[in-house]
Amino acid sequence: MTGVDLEDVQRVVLRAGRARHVAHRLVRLPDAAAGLSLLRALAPRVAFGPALTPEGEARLSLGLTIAGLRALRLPGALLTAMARLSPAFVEGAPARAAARCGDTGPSAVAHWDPAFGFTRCHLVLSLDAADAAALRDACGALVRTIAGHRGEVVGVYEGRALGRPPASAGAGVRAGVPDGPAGDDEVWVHFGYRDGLSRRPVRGFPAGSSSPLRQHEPGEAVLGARNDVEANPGLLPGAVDALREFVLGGSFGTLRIVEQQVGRFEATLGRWAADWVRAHGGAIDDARALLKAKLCGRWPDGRHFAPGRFDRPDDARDPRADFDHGADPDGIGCPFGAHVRRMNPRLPAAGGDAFDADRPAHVRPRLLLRRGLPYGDWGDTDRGLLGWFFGARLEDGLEHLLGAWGDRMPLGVAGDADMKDPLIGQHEPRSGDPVFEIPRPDGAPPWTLRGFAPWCRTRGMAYAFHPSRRALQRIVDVRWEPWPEPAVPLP
Amino acid sequence: MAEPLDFDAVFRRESMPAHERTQRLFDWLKDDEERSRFYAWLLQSPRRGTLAFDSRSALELDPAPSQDPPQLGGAVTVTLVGARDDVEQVLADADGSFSNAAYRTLGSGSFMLGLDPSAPAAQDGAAQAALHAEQQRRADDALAAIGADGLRFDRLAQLAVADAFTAGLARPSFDLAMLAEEIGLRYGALLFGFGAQDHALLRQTMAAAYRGLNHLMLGRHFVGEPGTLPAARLALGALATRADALMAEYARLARRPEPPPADYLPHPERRRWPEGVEPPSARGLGDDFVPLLKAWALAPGRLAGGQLGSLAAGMLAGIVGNVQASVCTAVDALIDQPETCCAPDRIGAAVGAALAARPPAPFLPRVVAKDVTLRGSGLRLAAGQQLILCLGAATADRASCPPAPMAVDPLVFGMTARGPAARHGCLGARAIWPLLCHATQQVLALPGLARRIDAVDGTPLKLEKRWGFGAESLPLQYRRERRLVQQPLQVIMRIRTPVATNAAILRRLVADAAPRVQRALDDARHVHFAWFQFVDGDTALALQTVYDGDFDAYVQHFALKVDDIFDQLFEYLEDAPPRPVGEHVEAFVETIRRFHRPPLGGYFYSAYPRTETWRVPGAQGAP
Repeated sequence: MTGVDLEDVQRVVLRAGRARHVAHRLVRLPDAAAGLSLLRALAPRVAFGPALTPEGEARLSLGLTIAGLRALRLPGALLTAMARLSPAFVEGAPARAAARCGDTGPSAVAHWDPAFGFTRCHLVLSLDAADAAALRDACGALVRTIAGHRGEVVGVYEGRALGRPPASAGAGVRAGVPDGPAGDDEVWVHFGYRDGLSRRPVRGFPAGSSSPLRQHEPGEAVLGARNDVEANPGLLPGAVDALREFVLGGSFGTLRIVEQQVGRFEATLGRWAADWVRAHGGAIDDARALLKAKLCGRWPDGRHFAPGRFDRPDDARDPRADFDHGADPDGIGCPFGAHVRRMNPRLPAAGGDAFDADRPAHVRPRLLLRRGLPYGDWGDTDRGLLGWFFGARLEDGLEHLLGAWGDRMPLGVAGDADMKDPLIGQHEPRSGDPVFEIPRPDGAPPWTLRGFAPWCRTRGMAYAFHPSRRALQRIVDVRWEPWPEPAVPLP
Repeated sequence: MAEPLDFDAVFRRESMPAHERTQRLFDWLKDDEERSRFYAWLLQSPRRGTLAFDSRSALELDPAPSQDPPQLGGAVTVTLVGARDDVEQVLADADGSFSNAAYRTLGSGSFMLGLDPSAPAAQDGAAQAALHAEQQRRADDALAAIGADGLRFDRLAQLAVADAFTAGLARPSFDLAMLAEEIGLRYGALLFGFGAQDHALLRQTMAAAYRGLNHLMLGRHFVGEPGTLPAARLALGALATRADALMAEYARLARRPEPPPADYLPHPERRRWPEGVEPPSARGLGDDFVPLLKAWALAPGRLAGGQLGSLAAGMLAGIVGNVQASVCTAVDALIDQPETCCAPDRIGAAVGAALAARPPAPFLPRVVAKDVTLRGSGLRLAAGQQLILCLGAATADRASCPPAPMAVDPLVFGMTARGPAARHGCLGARAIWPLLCHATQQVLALPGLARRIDAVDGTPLKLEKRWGFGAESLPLQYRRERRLVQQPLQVIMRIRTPVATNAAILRRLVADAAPRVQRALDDARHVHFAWFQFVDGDTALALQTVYDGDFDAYVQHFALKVDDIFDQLFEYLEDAPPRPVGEHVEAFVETIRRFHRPPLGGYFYSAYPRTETWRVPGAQGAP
């Protein structure tokens, strides 16, 4: 089993919960003493364990950046261990963004919100709740606590689940959106896609235990447990027990704020749809919906393509049901370069085991636990996604998805090698004018889309270690002095 | 937004010591952003763009050796001139009111910039005017001959950038200041006709010469560097000497081509060029391309060999440093606006705007030769007054319509927009312009280009300049694997003792495991080549491969697929990672990374740099 007591793991890692509203506060600590006193005040409020947060309450999550660990003056041996465990965490998101996540041009670090400065952001404190009132109350209390311990809130980000796009939304955003009110559990994003559908069950986690879907090993989500390839990097071979105890049950969180430039998306989609109609006839709205579906790899309302069918959604299946692309080997339904096919390759299981050694490492599915919600309202100028992700490995998880699968065509996958993820890629002119290919049936040549514009702009990103209950308690108890290790310079 | 600087307070407070005011002024002038704000204030001030300050430079222009009697203190007062009308008046110098004497300290009496062609009335003025005119004519003629083929400068630019990129972009991190310097050096070598063996000399001498230029243009008024100008003189002298020798070689070859030896028939063309100089036809420059040194060697005119060598050295000193500064300035300004400059038809305007905002040579020195009044500011200047022309202030004062085909304010190159032509305008501006545009565009087009990040505070690193001039560093990064998808891996680990016995075991293990390794490589679909071998007298085992894409994913694949084979191999190797490998994948990856020996200088050649393994026709997994 896991070797990790799930009661010790931060709840946000274990389950998405009922979150319809979220508030993030990026906090700078004035000094180690004030930082420790703030953590002491917050530690009892952080939500741990797999239980559902009661309705009417907000869930508090706490993450420490590498600058935060340094600000708290934790032992050098701990920082050295973190460097072994995760170079990305220790180098910090700004240093990794361009080379590992494709954040260049308008998304370059130079243009990020100041809150994400490497030495500015020490804590990522996040509240989420099912209702706005609960979040508001908890947020007020949190901010008072921060101020009471001389913490400085350097960044404020708040978002909420959006329902279906209203009639006033643009034609591209509305394309493929069903009429009528949204279901209670529906979450939509600003480009007009239903979100939150992909479920990645983890063995032993609340939603995973009863899932009929293939399950990841818990070591993909938290440190100290075996992962999908039967390794356990969190064991830190050779480290003293106290270090191992610190990382056990922890998880790396990423807060990534992405502005979505809906106007550009609408304009480009409209141009492509007009081209499609000129060539094939039909209604322009249908063309918009079809092309939107091809870019994403599923229909705007979440339904998958019927296996191997070019333009038919699979009406029979629940959008949340898992599937693989085994029935669509030529990309006739879901193109190879589509967003969902990159982010979750969904290869057919080989030998009955989804993660077994027959699968090359570069196409092995990566677990990324998604907890993000949109920010801004329909029609707002500034709107986008408060991306919030968790996993045991930044380098092999989020960075691999964004850098190796999102920022170019994944290795070994047919299509233009320079084509980035059509929805979230940083489509810069310096990438040339790569082609998004939409394979067609019956031997017809692929339909191609060109002229991608940067529809998303990264406003900032922070890597934060979300410690277990025991690790957090160990920090606030200041039980580090007995350690014999001297402070070791970071590599 | 930066704090407003209180320029008024500094220059109105009589109580502030002059040396402190000078220091404050230096701080503003050498910083690009503060300089812009200072210029805005200067142009709005009652002084109309002029300002006098006490220089730290001694009265005598040539510090070593001084021909004037030494004096106590002896610092001079210098006037900044920033209004466009004033700057253009000084540059045009229609009536010989201004002298370029400051430049003479850089070289002999034939250093072109140090001559005063407009002052025939001055002592030895007529001789200076004649020499300057002849030098200018020789440079103009030779450049015009090259430029007669409308695309020749474009081709030179393409070659220079491609050559510089070969080694300069071997790694994902690079310093644009070094790369841009290399571009300038490669261009200069092609344009003048230097050989491959001259590259080190060019690099050393150009750095010293450009620093000397920067020093006498501005630095000497603020910092004491008695060794800089002598070093620059030595450098220019060394380069002039080499240029002179090469011209002699060009002349000799023109008279009597080297007879091809009997065993050297395949490359007869090479025998017509000095050793190390690649025939232009081999670079696609055409048989009629005549580099400057060859042109001058064949038709020396009225200039002596030493004077031609000096002309070459002086021109090169201007080219390399200014190309470096210009490319860095343009990329620094445009790196986050790729949409404005990746289109070939927009790059010129974008580079022009960037250089107008921050001219690569932002200050030009002059000395007042006779009493004169500046027309724009009305400032009266007495003979002997030293001036610094602030080009960045002048370009900000009033925009000038850029002349075609260069979409740049002429002041950027020390030329006037209207009225009489500048006496010392950049000779090679039209030759250099295609290079600046092409180099900037090629750098900006690098995949994933971004500033490097300061490891301590996480902020993007910016362009560092020396005294507001020469680019010292602009650390950048790019996705190297997008330009050259293949990566070499060479892991060398020492064999444990007893070495001979263990080597024999390793030999057998590798042979036995070959079929499984082969299958793992086939499955990976992104390995081009792989083999094991013994090195260092069979005391170490080397694993060598060429693979595509991401290092971690590649190495992980083998940790997962053939972990047991590596477990066996590591039994006989020193510094092995923890085993079983399959349970310590990260430690395995780090061990491979630690023992990887990258190619020298990072240079790695591929005949198909953008082709992944599985896309190679006939490769395993190819469609």
